[in-house]
Amino acid sequence: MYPVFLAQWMKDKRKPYLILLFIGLSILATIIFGDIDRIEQTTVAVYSTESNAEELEQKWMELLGHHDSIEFVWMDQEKAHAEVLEGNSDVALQIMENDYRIITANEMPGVFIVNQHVHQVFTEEAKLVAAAGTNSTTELRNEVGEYLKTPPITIQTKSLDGGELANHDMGMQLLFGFTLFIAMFTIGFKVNGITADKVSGIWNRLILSPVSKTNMYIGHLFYSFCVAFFQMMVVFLIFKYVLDYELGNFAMIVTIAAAFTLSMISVAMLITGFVKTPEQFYMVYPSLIPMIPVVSGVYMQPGTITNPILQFIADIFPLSHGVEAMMDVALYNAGWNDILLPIVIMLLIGVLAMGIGINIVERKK
Amino acid sequence: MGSFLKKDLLIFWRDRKEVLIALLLPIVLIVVLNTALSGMFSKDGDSIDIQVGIVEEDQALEGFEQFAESLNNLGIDEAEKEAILSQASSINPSEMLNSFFNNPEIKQVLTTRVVSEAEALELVEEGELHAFVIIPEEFTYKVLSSIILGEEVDVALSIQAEEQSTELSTLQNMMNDFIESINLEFALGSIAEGENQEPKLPQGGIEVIEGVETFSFTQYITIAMSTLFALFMAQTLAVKTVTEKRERVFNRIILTGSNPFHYLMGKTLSTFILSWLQIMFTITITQLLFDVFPDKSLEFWLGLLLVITAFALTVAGLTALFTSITLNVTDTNAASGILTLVIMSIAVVGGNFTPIQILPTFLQRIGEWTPNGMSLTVLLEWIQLSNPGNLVIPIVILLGYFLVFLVLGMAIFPGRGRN
Repeated sequence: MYPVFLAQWMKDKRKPYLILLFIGLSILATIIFGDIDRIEQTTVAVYSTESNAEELEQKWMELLGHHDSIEFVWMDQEKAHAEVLEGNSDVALQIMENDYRIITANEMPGVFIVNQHVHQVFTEEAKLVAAAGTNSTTELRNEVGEYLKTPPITIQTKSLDGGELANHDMGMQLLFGFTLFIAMFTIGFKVNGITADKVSGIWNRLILSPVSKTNMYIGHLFYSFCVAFFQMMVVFLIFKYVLDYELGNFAMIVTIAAAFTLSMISVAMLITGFVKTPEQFYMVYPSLIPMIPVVSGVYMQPGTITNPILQFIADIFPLSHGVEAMMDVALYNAGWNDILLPIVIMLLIGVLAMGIGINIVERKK
Repeated sequence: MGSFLKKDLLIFWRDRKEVLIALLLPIVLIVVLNTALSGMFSKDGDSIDIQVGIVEEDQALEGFEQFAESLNNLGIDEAEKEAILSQASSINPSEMLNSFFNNPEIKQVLTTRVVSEAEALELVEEGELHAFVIIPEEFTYKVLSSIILGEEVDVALSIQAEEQSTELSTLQNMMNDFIESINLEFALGSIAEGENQEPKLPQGGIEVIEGVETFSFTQYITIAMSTLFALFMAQTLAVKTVTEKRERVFNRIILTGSNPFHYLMGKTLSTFILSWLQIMFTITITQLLFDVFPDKSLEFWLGLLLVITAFALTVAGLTALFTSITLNVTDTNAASGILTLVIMSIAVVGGNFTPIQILPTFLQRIGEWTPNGMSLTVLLEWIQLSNPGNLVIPIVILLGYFLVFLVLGMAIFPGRGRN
């Protein structure tokens, strides 16, 4: 086993650029996509065609500005329209004295979110103005603000046992999802080394050597494990210490990452079983892999995918289990007992996929 | 050259797994994304049905009595008391909640049933209910005291659920909006002295820029996925060179005395044909399934066809370049790895995986210049504006890409001799 492992290591050590490029780009991509705080900001261009545009700007920009993820920027009409048309932002906002229009050029989800916020702001303001009558609205607004600090009716969300229900953090889900998703590419790329060895004849020479077949596989796969695991660790450490994300119990995250890597290596091995040459693998693998996070619902709020067939497909890949377990750790303070089930499922997927995969590979002449 | 083209087409065709993947996967992805996502954001939102239990622990009548009693203890005179009580009877907090839940608009999304807390817990755990709302004991009394007497409230409505879900957050949003609006009303009622005019509510509304048609999410992913898989096609055919190099196919071709450029041309042309067919197939099937582009004019389809053809040519150019690079480098494994990386990278920055708005600005700028990103942008613009003038420059650029890639590929294409 060690000679095989070392052989892989020496290959990469002598020509380190490719693998370094691979790992480097993967880390970069994960950080670009996973650093969700930046992504969730939507910029909305605001303009007005009224004569008292400046007055309106001052009034409404102040009132609209209280939203966590929507940023309102004042610009002139032409520029705002251009922004929307070029697709730089989904919507622009035209404001009038007491009314507004959302200006858009598509039907993407962002439009409705902005509309909801703006509508609420304008409705509240209209009610305020009506109530104030001839009096000053500024004063009334302050008083109402004061009153609403202790509103008569409040509402809260709790978990079933009355404790706090952790907010589902979509950003966290994307962070874990992308880290695991992109690691899948590295895993596939390294596992493909087995097929590459086979077509180049190295595999046959190894069979003639005293190394047992099991050890040949283990050497290869263990090396793939190390590379992929290393990549994930770098990503997690960057997120934890450089970008200051709260990842929860790190030891548990690492354990889940390890189980996921093992499991995914097996899935890659299974896919290897279906191809003859390393080049076919390069064709099949990158086409299949982007489907997995989509089906597993990594990009969406949980509960979005309700189709049982899709759910079943998602369940047979380790990604959904890995992300779920990591989310439990990061958000719900899960203990070792809670993450045991997903880990066992991932390992089970691993065992099955590895068994079938190696079987197919070995039967092939 | 014809025989080389035939060779490449046949090699592709004979690997049925590849054919299946190339033809089916984009469609599967479009179907999945479409069914999973589009319902969520559709304007009427009738695709969700939230099951909510209502646990009423509050006794409205007793609350009133309690409130009246507490007025007695305050020691105010009868006339004032009468006035306060009549004001109080016009406010009925739990009735307000009930009318909210029974509002026909709300009922489209929420299905409510009144249950006891124990039942509710059980039902949520069984998954029969998404969440339940508790109207706590003394709710009426406390709210009345707060509104009229300005006392601090120490009871709150609570939504209880097992875990976060789309249903729960929709429920939270609806309840929050409702409660915010009635709180505001209470606030205005207690503060404003002005003659309460009817508020001029904003009309609002979503308007589309004049002369522009909107594009839908389905249209977006249809175009994104079909261009993405065309890119994969370039990779697939170029990477086959690695196999052919290893199996000495290329050397044998040179030995036959045929012009090696024909080999390159065969690859380029076959990529063009295959990726063009693939995009057409994807768009045709999704059009039949979802009516992705409803009521479009013939002009629209012609424009679409033109851009797709130009894009397929660019993809073919990429294959030419990749093929030559592969033939030039010694480490073929590295070559296929790098090709994969390049393809994935331009797919990501071109907006094939996610809308480019979520990328950093400098990547967006690069993305607009990738062939796939450019085709995506120009097609979306074509849907929006239907202005043929906008097609010219991008198509010229795409053709330019094709020529540059092809010429580069030919320039570094290894000639006869040992390589």
